Amino acid sequence: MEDVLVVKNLKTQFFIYEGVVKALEDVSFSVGKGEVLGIVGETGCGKSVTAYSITRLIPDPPGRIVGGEVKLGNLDLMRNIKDEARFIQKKRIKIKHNYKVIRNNELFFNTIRGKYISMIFQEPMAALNPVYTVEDQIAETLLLHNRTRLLKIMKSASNHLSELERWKDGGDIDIFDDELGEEIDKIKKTARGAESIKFHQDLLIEGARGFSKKMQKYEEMLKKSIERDELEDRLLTDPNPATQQEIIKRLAKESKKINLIKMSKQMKRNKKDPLLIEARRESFSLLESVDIPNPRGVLKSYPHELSGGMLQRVTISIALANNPKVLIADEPTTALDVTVQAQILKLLRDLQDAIGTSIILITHDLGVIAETCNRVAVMYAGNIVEMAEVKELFRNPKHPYTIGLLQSIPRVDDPNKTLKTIPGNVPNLINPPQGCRFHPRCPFVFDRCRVEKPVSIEVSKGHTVECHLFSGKVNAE
Amino acid sequence: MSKVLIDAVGLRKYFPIKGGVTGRTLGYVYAVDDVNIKIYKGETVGLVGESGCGKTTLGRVLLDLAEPTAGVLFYNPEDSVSSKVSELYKNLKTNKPSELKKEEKKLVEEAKKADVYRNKKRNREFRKKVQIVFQDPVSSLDPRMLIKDIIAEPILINGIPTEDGKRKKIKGDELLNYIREMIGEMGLNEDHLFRFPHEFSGGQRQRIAIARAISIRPEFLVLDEPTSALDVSVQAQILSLLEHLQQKYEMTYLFITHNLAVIRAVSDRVIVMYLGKVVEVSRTDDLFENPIHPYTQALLSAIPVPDPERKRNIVVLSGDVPSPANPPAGCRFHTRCRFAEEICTKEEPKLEEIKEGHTAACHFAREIISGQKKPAPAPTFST
Ligand SMILES: Nc1ncnc2c1ncn2[C@@H]1O[C@H](COP(=O)(O)OP(=O)(O)O)[C@@H](O)[C@H]1O
Ligand SMILES: Nc1ncnc2c1ncn2[C@@H]1O[C@H](COP(=O)(O)OP(=O)(O)O)[C@@H](O)[C@H]1O
Ligand code: SF4
Ligand code: SF4
Ligand SMILES: [Mg+2]
Ligand SMILES: [Mg+2]
Repeated sequence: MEDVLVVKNLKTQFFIYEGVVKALEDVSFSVGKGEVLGIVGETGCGKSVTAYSITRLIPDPPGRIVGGEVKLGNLDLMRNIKDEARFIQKKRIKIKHNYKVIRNNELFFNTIRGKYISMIFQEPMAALNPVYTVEDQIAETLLLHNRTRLLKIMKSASNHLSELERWKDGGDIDIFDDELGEEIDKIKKTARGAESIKFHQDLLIEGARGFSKKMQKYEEMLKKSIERDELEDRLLTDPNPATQQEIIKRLAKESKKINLIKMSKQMKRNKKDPLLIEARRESFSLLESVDIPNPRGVLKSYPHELSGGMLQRVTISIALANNPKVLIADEPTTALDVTVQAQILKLLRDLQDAIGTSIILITHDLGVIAETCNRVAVMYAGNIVEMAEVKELFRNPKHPYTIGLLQSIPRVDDPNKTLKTIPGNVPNLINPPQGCRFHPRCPFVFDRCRVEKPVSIEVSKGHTVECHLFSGKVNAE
Repeated sequence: MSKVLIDAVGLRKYFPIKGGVTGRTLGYVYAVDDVNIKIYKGETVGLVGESGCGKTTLGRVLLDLAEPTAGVLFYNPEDSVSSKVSELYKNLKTNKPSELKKEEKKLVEEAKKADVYRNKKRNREFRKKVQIVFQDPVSSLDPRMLIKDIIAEPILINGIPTEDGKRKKIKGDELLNYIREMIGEMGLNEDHLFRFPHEFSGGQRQRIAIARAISIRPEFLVLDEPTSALDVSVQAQILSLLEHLQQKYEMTYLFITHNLAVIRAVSDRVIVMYLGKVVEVSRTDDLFENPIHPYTQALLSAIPVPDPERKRNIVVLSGDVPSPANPPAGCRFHTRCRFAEEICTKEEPKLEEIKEGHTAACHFAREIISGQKKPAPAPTFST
């Protein structure tokens, strides 16, 4: 399977008053195309820090990614961090000037990440702005990251205006072999009822008319947007770091010129803008695809007016608006009731089937892992201690922590199971235990564990364990 | 079956919704609405339902920590009074004394004497025998108190039971020794006594909260989501501690949680709530193997099972739980029920015994379990 995201030796620390929190010691894993990778572990194991490190949402200070590589295709997302370290080391004097370079770099990388990696959180409010309506927030994401698509649909719609009008009058519409065609197929499939279809039709036609009026302007915009997309995509595919650097420079210059945020604000003032109209229609369509009842009402709502389950659907739809390569979901159902959790997990699976995004699903619930993931990484105190295909992990757990976790969960389908406990607690990571960080709680601990950190060993194909019991020198009983 | 310890009849708790500048009451949140439950000596009763369905409120009302809007509560009732009186209250259509029959009046008088809410003496007795443990061990322990004082507080107020069934107050060295002994049993050690709550982990804090609750040797303990904030490995530790304590001190537990796997592991019987109403009561195994109420069925089907090789059919409920301030008429579940018919929107189903030891509140309970009534097609998916 083709790897979409590769994380290597990621190391993140927090520099706080009490000392250095060694939150991630050495985290490596990869996510395949269309795969759902689960990350499981108890509170404080570093699951969220892993997610935030990848998306660079670690608050700095006190947090800092001190090492490692996160590769999205051929692009190292941590690269500017290394630049930063180099700057600071070599050119101490020029630091003020270089700081500006770093900031620009940072902004640029944020855009890239926002476009290719989306994230949803346990608390949906964390991803939403309380003072904007749901519609504003979805539309903004679309305008920032999916402009090309919106323009292409509008362009095609303006070319097919008469067909669209006929469709609205009750006739059928033929499928075009482009974005608009796909969109119409989707509308026919997911739209709920005639009223919803009419809403789509009206907006498509209105947008198409707007586009035809200022054809030249929008054609120009589309051309630029396509160029930019191509550059960005090349960034991910081009293996040569020097070319990448070139592209980054060009894009950084461009982004100063375009300033997407300002632009989207301007357009919001102009309600007749076809781009904005299409963004509205697409927002509606996205809410329909995440099974939200009364999507038009929800679009006009503010976040606090919606229930937790509804909000989580909204954040999922925003995350998907970008059509990301990777979706990171950090405990997306932990705050929800089981029946709502079932709805949300079904939704994630359906969407994953439909659009093939790779998902990193973080949870502490092994039940959720078993039902949604293809592969699992078990985290303990800043390390991935075991990784395997989901069936293999549950059938054949190797790491003493994984075994302990599995034995400590009560099961509805097995009332007579005797619950075993893991003694002690997840350690404080300012002074983590030496050697294997699990050793104070491990029933199999032996001398070597207290001094030497175990390395990752492949015990069978695709199944890796970090534990001295499997390092060959000492045999497990 | 053993003796009834708690018999609650017609419990209601409505929270007023105030609004406007005048603070007028605009309506009510029907948090607990006409709940009748019996709890037997020595058992663990699980109380499940989704957040906001009234579990915590019911737990608090049962311990008289929140004043009920209506209802009577008998503690350790003598059989003769209890069953007759609770029958009466269940069927009582009116509260006006003038409209009661003579016989009924007599029973109502008797009930008032036995009712924990109304009889002051009984209320005082009751409070010495019941305790509660909350979900959040952080906010339930006073951060400025030493652990030893936290545990000592209820003992200083209520004393401890003696061999002859009375209670005595203890203090000084006797008290400290008593606490020392207890803390060992909780898996904590003596020098923990002279620390503050923030120095402990979540699991340890929950041990302290449990120590405090059982320090007066209660007969009845309400555990309100005691492990919901804890990790699974720590949860297992707390569950086994609770089981040990229950056997040793012969306590009766009401175990409130939204985690059905935990319910299955700990309880003898289960009460399922939906929007302020009890919808199903059953022995645990029977509930999990043969759920009757459509809500229970959907709830059970939604629990993820930690076994990737097990395939299940999940009933996906549509929409959200309605607001308890404006519950649907008739059966409160009808807006989401796959079996709903006309009658469900109009008439409220009564909680009835459908088979031995298994009651449910659904108009079509019998037809559903016999398979005569088929659900309307709804989104289900298999894993
Ligand atoms: N902002 C922060 N400051 C200091 N320490 C932090 C911060 N964020 C996380 N940590 C520490 O990093 C470790 C991992 O935390 P986290 O990734 O949130 O765990 P999980 O998501 O697995 O529950 C913990 O020890 C936590 O205390
Ligand atoms: N003190 C209160 N004042 C007003 N409403 C309350 C109060 N306590 C609980 N409620 C409401 O009563 C309902 C039941 O709440 P609760 O008993 O806490 O449910 P659960 O414990 O099942 O989650 C909820 O709608 C809640 O908002
Ligand atoms: S390395 Fe040693 S202490 Fe660590 S999990 Fe393996 S046996 Fe246990
Ligand atoms: S009474 Fe009707 S609506 Fe209520 S659970 Fe039974 S079938 Fe469903
Ligand atoms: Mg987390
Ligand atoms: Mg509660």
